[in-house]
Amino acid sequence: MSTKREREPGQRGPSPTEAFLGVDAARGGPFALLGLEPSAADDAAILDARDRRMRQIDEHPLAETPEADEVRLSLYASAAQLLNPSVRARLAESWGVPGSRPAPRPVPDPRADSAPTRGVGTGADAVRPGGPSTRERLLEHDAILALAMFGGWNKRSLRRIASIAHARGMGSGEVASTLRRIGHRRRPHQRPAGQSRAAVVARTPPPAFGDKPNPGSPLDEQIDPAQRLLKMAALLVVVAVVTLASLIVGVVGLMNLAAPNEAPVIVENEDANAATPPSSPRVTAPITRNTSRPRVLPAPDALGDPELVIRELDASRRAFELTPFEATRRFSDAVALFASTWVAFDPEARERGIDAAERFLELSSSEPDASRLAIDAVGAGLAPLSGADRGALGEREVWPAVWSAGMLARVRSSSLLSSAQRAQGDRLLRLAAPDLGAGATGFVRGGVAGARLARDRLVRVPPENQAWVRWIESVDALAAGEETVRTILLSEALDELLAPPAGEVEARSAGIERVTLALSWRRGSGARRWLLRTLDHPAATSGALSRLIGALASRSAAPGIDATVSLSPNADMRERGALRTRLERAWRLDQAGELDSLAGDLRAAMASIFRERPLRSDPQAQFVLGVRLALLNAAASLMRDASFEAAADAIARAAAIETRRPNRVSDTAPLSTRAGPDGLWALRFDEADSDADERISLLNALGDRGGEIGPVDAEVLVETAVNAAPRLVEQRARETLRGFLDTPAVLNALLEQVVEMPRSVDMIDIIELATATPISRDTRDGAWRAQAHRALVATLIGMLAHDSRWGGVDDLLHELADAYQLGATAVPVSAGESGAPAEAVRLLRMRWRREAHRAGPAGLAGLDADGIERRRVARLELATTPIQAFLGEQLAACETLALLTSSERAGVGPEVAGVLGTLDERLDQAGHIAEQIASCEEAIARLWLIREGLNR
Amino acid sequence: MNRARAGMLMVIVVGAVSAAGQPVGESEPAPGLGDSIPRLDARLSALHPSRPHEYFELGEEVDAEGGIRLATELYALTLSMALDTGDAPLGAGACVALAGLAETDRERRWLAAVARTIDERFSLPALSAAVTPRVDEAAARGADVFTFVRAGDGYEARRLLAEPGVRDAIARVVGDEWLGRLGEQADAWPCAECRNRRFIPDRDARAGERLCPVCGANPGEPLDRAGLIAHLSAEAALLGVEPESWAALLLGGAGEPMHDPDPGEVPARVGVDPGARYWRGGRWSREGGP
Repeated sequence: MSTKREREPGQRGPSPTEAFLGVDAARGGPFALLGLEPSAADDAAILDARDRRMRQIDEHPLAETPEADEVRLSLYASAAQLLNPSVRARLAESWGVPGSRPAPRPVPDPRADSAPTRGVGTGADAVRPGGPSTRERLLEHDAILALAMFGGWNKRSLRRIASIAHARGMGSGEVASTLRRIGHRRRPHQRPAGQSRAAVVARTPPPAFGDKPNPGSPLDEQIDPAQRLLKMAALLVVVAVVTLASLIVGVVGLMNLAAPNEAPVIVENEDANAATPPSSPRVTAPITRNTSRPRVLPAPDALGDPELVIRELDASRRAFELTPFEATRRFSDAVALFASTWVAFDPEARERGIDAAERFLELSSSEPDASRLAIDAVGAGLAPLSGADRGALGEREVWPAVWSAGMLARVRSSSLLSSAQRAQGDRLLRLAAPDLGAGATGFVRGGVAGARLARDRLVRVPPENQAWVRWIESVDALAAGEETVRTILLSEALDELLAPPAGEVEARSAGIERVTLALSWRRGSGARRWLLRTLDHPAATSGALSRLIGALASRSAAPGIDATVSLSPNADMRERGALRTRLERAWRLDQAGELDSLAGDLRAAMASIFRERPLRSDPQAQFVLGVRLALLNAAASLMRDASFEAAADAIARAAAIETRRPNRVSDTAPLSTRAGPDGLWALRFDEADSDADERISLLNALGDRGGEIGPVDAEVLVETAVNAAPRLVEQRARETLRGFLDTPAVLNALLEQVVEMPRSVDMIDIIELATATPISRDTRDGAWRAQAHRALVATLIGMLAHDSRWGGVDDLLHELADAYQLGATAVPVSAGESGAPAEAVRLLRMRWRREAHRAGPAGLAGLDADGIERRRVARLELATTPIQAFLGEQLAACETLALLTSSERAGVGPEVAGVLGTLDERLDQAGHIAEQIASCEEAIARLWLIREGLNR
Repeated sequence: MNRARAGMLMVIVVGAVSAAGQPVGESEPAPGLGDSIPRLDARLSALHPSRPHEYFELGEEVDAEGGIRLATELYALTLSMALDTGDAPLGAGACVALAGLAETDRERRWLAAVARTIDERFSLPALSAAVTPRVDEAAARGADVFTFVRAGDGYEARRLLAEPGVRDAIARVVGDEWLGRLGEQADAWPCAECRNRRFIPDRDARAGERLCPVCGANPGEPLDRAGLIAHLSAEAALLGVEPESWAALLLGGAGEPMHDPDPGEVPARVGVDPGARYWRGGRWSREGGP
């Protein structure tokens, strides 16, 4: 890399930089190396300058030497540094532009291929005809950053690049061409045998934090002065960070002084509720892993500034590469502030904050120790829910608990984070919620799970404790205007509060009143129907219900309820029934209304599907039928939750699914659908046997043509890429190959070669790119070959399956998972967020199991929760595929619904038993697992009809 | 192989069920069993359904002496009686014992799962170490055979098939019907015309080459998509690869219906009439008289 001290005393002749790029380039600093004026450097200019310099090297007579590679690497590293606006500003200050500040980085618009973009694609920077598109250049830009960030071509950098490309809607072809271009620039010509030092350096990951220098480490004088400069800049950053942190602490302290009753206390390793007087704030100690209580926290009333939190998170990330542990401390402080104030953020700011935290964690994966501390900090809010002490939550512990659950759910499902990070997030979450399924992914769903956990620790909080208020505020923030979600969570809380053990009504009265008054009782609200059902439910005690009715009558403005409405604490079921009738009339819910109309639609839709009954020889149609029924079953669940709009939507979705999915490609079709004869290119290539130039020209022509490729051409291309002479041809073949990695013919050709393929880092890169699977680079054993073999087989099967008669199944899987998710939580599912279908079924079963527990003993002999659980576990142990695992969970859910239905409705035992008996027969007679899934779904639908009294 | 055995088992089951009420099963103890277990016939005759433990204990003795069929019958009857009396540990123990006698891993897993439904302490992980095959080197080499066959490298495919353990691994994991097919496919290659060079001299043009007319410049077993998927699915099984895509799984043959682990089905599944609990005249009988 170019440096001020590039020519050491005693060194003879020009430095490599001087030799290739001239004296000016070697005068020092990345700007000089790239030939840029610091004041004029923006992203586009940096990329152009880098490309210009690369061409300059390529045209040099010594372009093939390791020295040339060294300078190329310096150029890439310098460009990568300068593409970071913050680093660029600091370097600009050092190299001649005092006071330079980083310009706001333009947000690339993936849709704006041809639209003028700041710094890219305009004027002198306009995209050349035939050159890369703007968004390819932007991807290239970010790819270089990813490569620099993660130490070269490796799993993490590839995953990062793929994520960025996916987020921008870019196809694999564009990704491949971008990567090919980077690779081409890095190694434009054939190199002498052996790997260059530069390539080795490029692949060397950064040392782990705390690593001791090894003998291979560069001497001090060998360290790139630009890096040294960065480190010095980093020190300045650290000083600034400490100063800023002090300011934050000071500001927070001042805010707390202004509100003495809500004084913030920053506590670690202590019981925040019990031990620390609220008037004695302490400054935070260094982060430790064994924090038993979360940091607490500016008082909820002393709300933080969302922009401050986001800025702090961003700043932590920027500081991370230079000072990982300092940055992690800063991050931990920022997330503590975030967790204790997030409820006050608007949804957009909250999402930005979550993104910022996730980006920090993504970056921190390069330093495992720092990453672990950071995720511990994210999960700190759950500590009060994880310990052996299961006492009531303090009011300041509610928001952090819900936030931590949401954030950990995000962590464990994030595609940006490493598997170790995801596993840590999952572990922390399960410490607090051992029964939490893997389906709880994403912030909102995790937050909902956290809110439920927190709720269970609030049932006995004393009246003066504001924890219920904080909890309701958390629910409001999670619901973000979704009235259905809010009603469900609040009514679930009342379900718990209304079923107290003997003598505990008084202890729960504060919670009952607060939650009752938080519910919406206006027309159309699900709360009204919930209350009517609850009055009939024996698990709800009259003592607790009388508190609820009292609060409703005296302190709410609920229409139709006045001071004359009351319920005696000793009321029997007849008196409760009378009140129910009175409320029905007052709210006009006794008349056929929306519910009846929807119920009619649902019953008709189910009956229609029952009649369809596809042929047993058509398992695809059976599967489609199962998915349609699952959506109708979700509609039934949503109706019960009074989510009428969502229920109607689910019925419409079920109707919109086509009964049959057409075959995409015939099973007897050949691998390629390319027009024109296969093998002609291969023939010409073979004929050009000893003419390297002609072969390269043919490879270029094949690459330019792109698109589909036949099996013969694919096999010849792969054979050339694996092992050909001269290496110039081999290298070009590898570059060409990268453009065809999404074709089955090339995957198959790679598979045919993998058994005897010599180990080659380039080829491993290619296989990783083709399969999106990390492959070992360890040379000590043959692990890489087995991994490559497995990855290629799995990818090729998936590719062929997607185009097969079963291809529609994968398309419908998200509908299936969504249906169960909706039934379980009524929480809307974002695209791509629905987890595995089996996990979604599990969530729904757990909900039904809770409800069955409350409903009392089953009215059906031989059916009990323990037996259902034993059979479920046995089925799952027997399952060898995810499909069988789904069926195992689905059958358990069906049995649980049968249990619930027979518990809730007296006298339906024989009908329920009939449904289960028919299901058993159909399971035994089924010829395909799709038929079993459909049969089980039909049984669930029939149970719903019984449960809702719609079967007559 | 598994399917063939399952089919045979079904025949046995149907036969057993249709003959309900009649003495069923292989009644005569295995040759030599009477020598190693003194008074075997008398002990069998003395068994009574009011003492199901004795069926189980005698089954263990017979099992230890290699009397697989008789032991199977004794264990299955034990299970049936345990279900009647609600003796969960005895019923689960009988299932586990039957799992130890099962011929296929699939049957073993099913019986272990049945044990789990009866008594939750009998979980599969403790049992599965003994019954679940690991992906081993021989299986991986078996997967390579598939690859060589598709690539037309018959020499390598035949060489691997001759290596110790490879044929057994293929037969065990994907069924022995593949062995014959792979052998034929390996014998057919390399291409007799071009020797896998893909191209042959074009005599008409005096110079240059043309695509091999025999293999079409694509040496290796010609497979359409369905054939290729079948090949790949077998290869994946040998490599221990489980595709995540349901479509891929279903294409690979994962559509077989799941057999629910129902304890009541065990006796029929192993070909035993659960009602024939008395040993009379060298056979199991439903009648308990002398």
